[in-house]
Amino acid sequence: MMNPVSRISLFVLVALVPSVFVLLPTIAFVANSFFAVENGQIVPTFTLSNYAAFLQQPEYWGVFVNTLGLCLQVSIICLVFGLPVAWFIWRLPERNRYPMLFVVILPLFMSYVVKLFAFRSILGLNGFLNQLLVASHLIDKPQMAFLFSRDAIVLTQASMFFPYMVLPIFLNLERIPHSLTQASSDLGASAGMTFREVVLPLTMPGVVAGLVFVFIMSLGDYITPQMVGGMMGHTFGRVVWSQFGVTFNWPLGASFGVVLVLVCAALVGAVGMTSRQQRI
Amino acid sequence: MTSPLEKLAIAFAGLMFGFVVIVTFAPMLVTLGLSIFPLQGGRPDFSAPSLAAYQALGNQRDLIEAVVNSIFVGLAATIISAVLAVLTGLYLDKAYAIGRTFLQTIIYLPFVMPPIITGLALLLFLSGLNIDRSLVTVVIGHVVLVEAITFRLVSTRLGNLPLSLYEASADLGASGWQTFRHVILPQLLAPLVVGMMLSFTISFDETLLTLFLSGSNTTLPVRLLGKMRVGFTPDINALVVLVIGSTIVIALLAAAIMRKNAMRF
Repeated sequence: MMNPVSRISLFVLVALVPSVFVLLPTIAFVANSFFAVENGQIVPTFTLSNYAAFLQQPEYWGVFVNTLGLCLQVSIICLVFGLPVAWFIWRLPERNRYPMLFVVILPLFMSYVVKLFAFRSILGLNGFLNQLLVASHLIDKPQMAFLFSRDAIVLTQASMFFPYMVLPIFLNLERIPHSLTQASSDLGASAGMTFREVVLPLTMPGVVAGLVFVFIMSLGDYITPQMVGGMMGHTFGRVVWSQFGVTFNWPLGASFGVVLVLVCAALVGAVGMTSRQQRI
Repeated sequence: MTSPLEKLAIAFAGLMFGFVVIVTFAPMLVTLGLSIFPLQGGRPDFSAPSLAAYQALGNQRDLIEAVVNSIFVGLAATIISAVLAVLTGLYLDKAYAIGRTFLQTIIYLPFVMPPIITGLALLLFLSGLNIDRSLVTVVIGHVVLVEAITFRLVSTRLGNLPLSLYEASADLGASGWQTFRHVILPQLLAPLVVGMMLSFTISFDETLLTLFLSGSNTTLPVRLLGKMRVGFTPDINALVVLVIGSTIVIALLAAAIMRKNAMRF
């Protein structure tokens, strides 16, 4: 048995790094969101003016609402493809399931920056998509419209974050006991009915988790919108970032960051609720 | 028995699977293609594949330096975070552990928060302490980011170990240290190795956090981001192909070990 002193020093040892480099910075970040800037200097007072600025100025909350819409679009596209793909993998013979799942997840291990660059060269004016469409006489001349548009951001993010949708849905499908689907068909349900009435409801926690994962990834990604979105890439992540760079208004940026985290926390909480409700 | 309708549904889902694989693998194929086929007036010349770009790799001095930086950061972050993760896992496995929820929260926090927030919070904190940004600050950021992965794998395994394992070891006269060294540690090897491999690949590719924490001497993704505006030359593509190839090998190995040991997150 260890004495109390060594127990406490063991706690300090394991808690030190995350406390100093996670907890303290997070507290400092939140504290900063209540500070003010006067003559280019950060003044540590307590003010809600940063949050008020966010709510009052349409250039801030407008971009925020717009970005939420964009992230929702990315999540829904991932779901539309992710649910059938996860279901397809689940229906494969057991020995093929994990290799095929791995094929879907593998792109996560390909460089993020390289994906961005590749999508630029696929969608650009001289890009492969334009060349393909011109060569097949679907369009007369290359279109500028593919790159630097809202659609380019949605397409790039949806393809980058897609594995985060498939993974939770598949893991959820895997947890459905075979006896349940069998019982359903023994009782005379068609395959479609079994899917609608048994499989789909039991997959909901995975679907919600996937939606939230993709949504949060998309919300926090401030580089993709800039790189493939051009002028359309002025998303909330960029707004937060620019307060720390160009504008140099850290307290304002911190308050935007807190808003971002609150949205994410609410979403993660929602996932926790659905997965608690639906236990097999 | 599969009904015709169900067969149709499977065929349709299979088509979607194929489509998705093509779209998500397209970036890699494009990069591979651009490293082999030289560009002629904006189009790749498919008639003359060559490995010249791979021989010219040495020209990209700054990128090779960035690769070395990335390997250093990845190794440092992986090793430090693995040691912390194992210590924390072992500590929380004990009945006398205090602050369980607190420790778990601060370890998982950087993994659930958007990296832009983790990065900005650290940037703000470090600049408040007048610490200059360097590879060291990047390592700090990566350690707190990837510690959650190894911690999760190690603590899941520890939680699944039967109590009889400890009892048998004690009955056979082993000391606390001997039990750890000869009974517990071998059990932790697989989750530890997989956790470290995943940590390294994540650290190696981390961009959103690193951008805030690195100084002028930086890692490969940040250096590549800087080159994006001017475009990638064939030798940059060649380097990227080699780097991604190595990452995929690590991922394959990790997946194989996970499967063999029936591991779950």
